[in-house]
Amino acid sequence: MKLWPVGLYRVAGESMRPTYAPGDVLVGLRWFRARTGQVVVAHHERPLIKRIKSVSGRNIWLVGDNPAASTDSRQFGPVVRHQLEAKIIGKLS
Amino acid sequence: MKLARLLPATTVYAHCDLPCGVYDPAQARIEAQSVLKIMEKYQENLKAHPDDIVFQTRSIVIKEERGELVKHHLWVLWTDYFKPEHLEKHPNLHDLFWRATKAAGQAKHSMDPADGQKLLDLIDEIAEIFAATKKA
Repeated sequence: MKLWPVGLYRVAGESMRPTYAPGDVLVGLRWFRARTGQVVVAHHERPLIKRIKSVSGRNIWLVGDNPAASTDSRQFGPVVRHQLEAKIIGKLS
Repeated sequence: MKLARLLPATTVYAHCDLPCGVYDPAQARIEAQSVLKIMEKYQENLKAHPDDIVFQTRSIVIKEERGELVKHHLWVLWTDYFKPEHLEKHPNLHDLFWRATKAAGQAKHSMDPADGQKLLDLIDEIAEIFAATKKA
């Protein structure tokens, strides 16, 4: 299933406001190169949606667009590439 | 737009998993105020322009969304902010949240401003307890 290059993701929570709201259905591309500024689906205990703030060597720093309502690299530190599942390329709803 | 919400999709979390400490009943209250205002405007519009189906439909749709947000913010407060020690001091807390979330559901079903006002009143009761916990 995860070999399919495109996935659908439904947002739960407030940390990506104002970009994405709870209930938004997003299209993700699973074949991608991680770049600063991308919104990505990342795995840290469970699937998260965050924005890449920086890429430094193996370390990828993730933040929410709504920092006051976000748990991200400020708490759990950087992630590495294999923790990223997809980059978001569009919104269906 | 609604169709997309029915598609099978992996849930991705944009939650605050760790206690960031940012809790405030004002979030629920603002959404509940929207619910009440929409109900009032709907009733005014119904009298003045009974055939204005576009406005009336939009009112219902937007009220539905705002009502769901009220429930969400109440649940966050109930499950994440309030602790057993708060319940000891305010034993009506569970009942109050139960009634408030029920009222939010009723406000979604209804276009009667009285239901919106009832929801606001219950949120204000929660806000009073919240303020008391902050002082303690």
